[in-house]
Amino acid sequence: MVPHKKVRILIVDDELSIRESLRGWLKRGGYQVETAAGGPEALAKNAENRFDIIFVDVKMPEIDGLTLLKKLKETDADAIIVMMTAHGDIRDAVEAMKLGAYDYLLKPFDLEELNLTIEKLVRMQALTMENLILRERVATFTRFENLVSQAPAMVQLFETIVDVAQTDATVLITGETGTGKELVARAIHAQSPRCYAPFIAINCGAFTEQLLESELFGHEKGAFTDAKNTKKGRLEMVNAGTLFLDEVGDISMKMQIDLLRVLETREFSRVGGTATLRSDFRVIAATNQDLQEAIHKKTFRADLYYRLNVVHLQVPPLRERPEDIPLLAQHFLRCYATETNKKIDSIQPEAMEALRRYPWPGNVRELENAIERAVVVGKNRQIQLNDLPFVIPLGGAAEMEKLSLDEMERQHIARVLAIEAGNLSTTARILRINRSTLYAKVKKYGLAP
Amino acid sequence: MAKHPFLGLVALGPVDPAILRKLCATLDRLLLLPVRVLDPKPLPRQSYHITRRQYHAAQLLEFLIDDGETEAFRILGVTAKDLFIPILTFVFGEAQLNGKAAIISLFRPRGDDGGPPASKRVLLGRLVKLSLHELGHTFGLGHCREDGCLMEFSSSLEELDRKNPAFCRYCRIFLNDYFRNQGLLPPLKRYAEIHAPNASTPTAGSSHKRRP
Repeated sequence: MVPHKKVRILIVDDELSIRESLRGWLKRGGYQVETAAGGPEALAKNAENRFDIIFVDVKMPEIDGLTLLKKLKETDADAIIVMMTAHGDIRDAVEAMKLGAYDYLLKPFDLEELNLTIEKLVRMQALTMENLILRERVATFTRFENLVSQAPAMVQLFETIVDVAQTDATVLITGETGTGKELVARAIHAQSPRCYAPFIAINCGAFTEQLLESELFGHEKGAFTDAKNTKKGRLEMVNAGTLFLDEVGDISMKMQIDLLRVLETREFSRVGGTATLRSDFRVIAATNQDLQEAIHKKTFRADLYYRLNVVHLQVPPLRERPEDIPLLAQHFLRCYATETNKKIDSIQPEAMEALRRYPWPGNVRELENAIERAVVVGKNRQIQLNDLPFVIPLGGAAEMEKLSLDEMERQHIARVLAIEAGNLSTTARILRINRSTLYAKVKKYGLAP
Repeated sequence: MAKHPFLGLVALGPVDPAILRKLCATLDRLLLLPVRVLDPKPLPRQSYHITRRQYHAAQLLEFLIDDGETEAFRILGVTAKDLFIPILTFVFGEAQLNGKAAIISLFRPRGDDGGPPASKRVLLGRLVKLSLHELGHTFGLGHCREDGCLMEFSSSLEELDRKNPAFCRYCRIFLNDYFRNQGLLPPLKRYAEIHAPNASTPTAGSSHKRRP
């Protein structure tokens, strides 16, 4: 007897012999079966514990089968309901199917027909469940993923996210680097009706003008030297979903015009193509620049700014919400301890105090990296102060003022090296010095990479 | 439970005694229980459905228990009449899940419903499969999804003929567990009780390794 998940079936029929014979047959099939003699009992049982499949007799006293079908569907739209009747009335059958019944069987059932129907129903039930589970998983994974806060400003931001998600309004998210602007954008998408369509993010600052054009609009074969094949742009791929334009303040003036046109018409052409393509998408943009100042300096178009700034969300920096530091630190600790399979479950009070005092110029991203590093290097059940070397010296502005330039440089290099897990190449890139200079400084200050 | 549990075969209404004897001998060989042919019983009139011209299988099961052999560990009714349960047009057999009684019909396996008549060998093969399937239900087995297993549901004679006359690995495990729980099979030795051939004390997995 190959084991399988127990499917719960409810049989609703006023005839005892029908209920019992179908129950017996289904029980032998390994299903968990309950019976109800009428509509009210069925509704009560289903309200108490939802059934996967419900067999409903059409002709019953008190509540007839079609009314019961309607009531069951009102409370549970996903319920799989099969109508049974001893009278082959085609009108009832049509009505039942219109009301959402899955199938309609004539009593008594043919063995083969019943078996096929049950197999179909079980398959459908499994798919329905899988769909529900996946939807739930997607929602919980992305709803407020890593957006952990108890600060009033952030709580208000969460409320705005929920409200704004239901609309199709363009959103402009501003905030310092590392505050979680993309997470806010993802949260809006996850809670919007577009959540089952793609969320496509593009970092506008990471591409040259030509590359960004090709990335956004796509290109036709032969449009430029390297265009060996036709390529779909992100605007095409994002259809029905959400387009996240990160670092939108870095877009060139020419691209700003092209983007403005797309935002107004939702129409575009591939680079080197002539066909006009349409795409339905929502736009969320983000920047850490002051766009109004950029407009003043004539490096950002005012009309694009107004097009993007329909709803403005400002993500506060971490130093303005110090109450979130312990909460976020614990959250990242849990995440990375699970990921690295390490038994680290708390942070030493002194270490927590150091985290709290540190100004976090890199915001949440920096805190996340710090905790990740501490988990990786940590050897105890608790994260210790010396697992967080770079937060110790920069205790406060007053202490920093007393440091020599050399000492400041030493501490800064040590901090970036720690964040980058000793990787000289990435550290040199961040510090904007070449690798050999960094190596010389590391040697000079006696820092072990 | 009786000291020497057995399966009792009861003919309900007229049944060819030769078929009954052969079925008895085959089941006796295949089952872990001895099989005896018990006194035949007349079919109860109240179980006959005039419009459907069939006998109510569930009612016949109750009749077998109420009126049947109380000493038998299991009772298998055999009838030449067509059987039904209210929700289905017909059944080849019926059984009480985890119960004492089961019943099978010769009607359709023999071709009495207008189908091609079955040879004695084919008929016996079908009856053995049906008997073991229904008895499997009385031993607590549900329908199985393993292709070809005796406990797989068959809605037609073609499907019945395609099945193997054997339980799948899973069903055999469940059956053995059932028989062990009933004391019809010796209990499995615990790992710690298995002595290594050349060891003076219990070895692998022995008691000192187990939690107190």
